[in-house]
Amino acid sequence: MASVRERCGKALGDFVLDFLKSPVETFQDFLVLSVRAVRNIFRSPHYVDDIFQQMDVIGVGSLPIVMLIGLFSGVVMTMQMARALQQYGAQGQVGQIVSIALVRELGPVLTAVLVAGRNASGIASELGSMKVTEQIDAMRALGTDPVQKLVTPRLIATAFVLPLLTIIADFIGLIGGAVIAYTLLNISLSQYFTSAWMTLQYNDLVQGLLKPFVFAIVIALVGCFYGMRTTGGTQGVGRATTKAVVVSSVWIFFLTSMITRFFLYYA
Amino acid sequence: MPPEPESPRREVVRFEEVSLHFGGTPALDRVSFELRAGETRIVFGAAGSGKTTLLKTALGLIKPDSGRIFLFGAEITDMSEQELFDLRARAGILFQEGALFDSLTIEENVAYPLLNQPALREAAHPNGAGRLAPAQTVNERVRETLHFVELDQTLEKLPSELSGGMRRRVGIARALVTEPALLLYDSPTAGLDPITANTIIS
Repeated sequence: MASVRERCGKALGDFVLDFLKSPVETFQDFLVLSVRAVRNIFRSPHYVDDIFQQMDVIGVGSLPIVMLIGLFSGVVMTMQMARALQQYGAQGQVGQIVSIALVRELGPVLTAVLVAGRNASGIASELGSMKVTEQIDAMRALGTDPVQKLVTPRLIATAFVLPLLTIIADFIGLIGGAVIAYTLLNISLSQYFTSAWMTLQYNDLVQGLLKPFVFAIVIALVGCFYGMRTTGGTQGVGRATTKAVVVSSVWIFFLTSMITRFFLYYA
Repeated sequence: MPPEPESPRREVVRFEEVSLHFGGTPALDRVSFELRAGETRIVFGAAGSGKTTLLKTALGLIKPDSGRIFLFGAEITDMSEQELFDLRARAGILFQEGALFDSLTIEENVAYPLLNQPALREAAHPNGAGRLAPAQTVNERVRETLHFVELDQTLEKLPSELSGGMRRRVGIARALVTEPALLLYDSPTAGLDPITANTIIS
């Protein structure tokens, strides 16, 4: 007969297994969807029209807000850094810090978080609505692979436009910083831009473009994943939308830490 | 097992001891039946008794927990999604709520199977897999089918602009447009007034 200790151990083990079962299953389903979506890039049919439509929705649609956030992040960074540098008499070097911060971190992360809020939610709600109204089932019954038709175009479009949006956000941020440096800090534009440009290395640019590419994959796949597994009517669509934004945002911050760590110590 | 060509009295659908549970609740419990070409079967049951599940399982949209399902002579129980597309091209289904694509016009909804089913595309272009059926052929077929359900004036409308009965008829047109060997109707007249229901039945 099993002792009390053994029974408690077994109960604890069962509890841990039950607790882990759902997240492990979810992650497994996510990996399956991801593999199918990536594999479909190399398979016919290719829904080119859908890819361009999604590029328009995600890229052009996000452009104004991305420009605005890029501008203000450059403005704020310049004002804050100038104050800190003033203590060391190095206010003239503010362009260096702003450009490094924007290109390496702020540009990719802020743009990705914005796009996650705007598009991961949009993707999840659109696909979620299709799921609860049986449109996904209808698509399968009518001979279309929903992953090929819905997920892969969104993945390709996001992976293509997010790095471009990030470049624009970085550029606008640097201009915002330049305006503040020139008007409030009496730093000449040539000094600002020279220090901003000269400090950037190949490594920074690679990091600044790799991050949005990775974030784009996460945003598109997480949005599609939660949309495609929506259940429970309109409430379920709301839940899927919230989850898509929260999960993709958390992944963005986690991945930026990992990529930064890699570039600082290995690259 | 390769699918067999259908002929009169040939088996179209066969269920062998098919069971399916949703979280411990049985939706299908050892269901067995056979449907041959030319036959009509009607399934009666209360709401939630598994009628929709039965139809979706017959097309491989839902996998059973146990048992075997044959569609046009081919076992689909463990068939991959890609393999199923060719078999599904020979069947048409009307979903309970219509399941029309709400961002496409009525014309695009009805044309969808003609433009997207791989088997039909290849039939239209035997040497060019993946190419679309000629636009004119698709157009004619769509108009003809919509005329059949008396909705030929709604081509450019969106599903949200139509009444429930009209949407159901568009769903029927979409199911019929490929002239499938097997037609599955999921509660085609549920929730409709008797006049519209009679129109759909006739």
